[in-house]
Amino acid sequence: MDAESLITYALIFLVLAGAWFVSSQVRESIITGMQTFQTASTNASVTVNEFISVTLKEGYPINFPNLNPGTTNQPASTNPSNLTIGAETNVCYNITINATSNFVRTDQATGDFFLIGNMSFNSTNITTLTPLQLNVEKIAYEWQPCPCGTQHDRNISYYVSVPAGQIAGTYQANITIKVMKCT
Amino acid sequence: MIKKVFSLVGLFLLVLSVTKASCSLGATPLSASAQAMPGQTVEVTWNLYNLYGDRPTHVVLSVTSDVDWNYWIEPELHEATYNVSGVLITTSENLAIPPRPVVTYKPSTIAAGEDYIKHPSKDGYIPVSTVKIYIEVPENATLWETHKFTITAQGNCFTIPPGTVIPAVSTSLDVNLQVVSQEYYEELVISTAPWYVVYLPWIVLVAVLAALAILIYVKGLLKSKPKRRRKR
Repeated sequence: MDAESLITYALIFLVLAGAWFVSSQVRESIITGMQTFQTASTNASVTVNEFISVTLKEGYPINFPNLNPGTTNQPASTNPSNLTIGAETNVCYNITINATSNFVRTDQATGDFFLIGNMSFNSTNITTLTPLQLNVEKIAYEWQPCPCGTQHDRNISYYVSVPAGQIAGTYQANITIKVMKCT
Repeated sequence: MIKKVFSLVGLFLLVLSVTKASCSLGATPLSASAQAMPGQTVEVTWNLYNLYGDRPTHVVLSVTSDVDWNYWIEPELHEATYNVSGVLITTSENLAIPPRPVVTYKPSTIAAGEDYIKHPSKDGYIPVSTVKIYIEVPENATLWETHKFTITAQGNCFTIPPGTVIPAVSTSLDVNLQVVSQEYYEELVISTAPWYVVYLPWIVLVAVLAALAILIYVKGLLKSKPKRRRKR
């Protein structure tokens, strides 16, 4: 191979390498330009902690008078039950009632019971009588505004029906009053 | 007569003390979010308080989620027996929160499992009992999926006599947990660019080679023509 050929090949190599480098740079700039948007602004975010509290006061626990079998929708002697949403609560809220047991006889271990569906409630927000259901949350108050510094007093009235033919005795049931922020 | 009046008043006060009760439960925060890698354990701290009750609130904590991941709660669920006005009551609970009002200053020493949180709407601090919920992210958890964990606190108070219907109080905390990648990296996804941009260097290379080949070919032609003339 003579000197002229060597110079020619070297020149070809340099031209190819240069072309590759330049085109790679052009390609990168095109792709980067397609995907990147730069702005001069920044985001600032802060999360304010949420508080909620509920207190059962008047009408706690709930008591009913002695009732005859077959009576319907008898009011609790402790009506209305009052609950307070604390002044520190800083969210809007819902109040639900969930029955966690049926009425079970407690004076004797006979296993006698009657269904929690015989108990119902109403409130100033939900005025229609709402029967309870085992392990189902029933709304008593919904979309209540944030107390945000002033406590809220909310009343709930309870009623019970005793099935005809129910065996005499003392019966007891459990419910859960849940207060949660509205979403 | 006076004795009779006093005994009636005494009876009335006794009835009041027996029947009047208040049971309270408060919580902060009510929502939280976290990011964790597969294999990591997330620690969630939740503050519960009893500002307005007149007796301890006995709390049972539970966790529900759309995934069946391993979790545990501190303090854990245990049985405790209390002497309530002479009546022994055994209950299952994670913790009992005594009623404690807002305090003006944070104490210099704070007991384990307790804390003081700034009151959101007035001066002072709310004494809180802290509970910790640990959630274990499995090694095979799918990346970038978000799962919701709802932690519920149910509070019960003892009353003597217990009443016909015993209400409990309850509130909850929602935790959104996102599974993230093991390490941070950024890779340019070039497949989104048009094909002629992706293969631009190769196109240019082929074009230059073709141009050179043509150049060499033309140069060869030009060199060969004068030689023929010389032979003649």
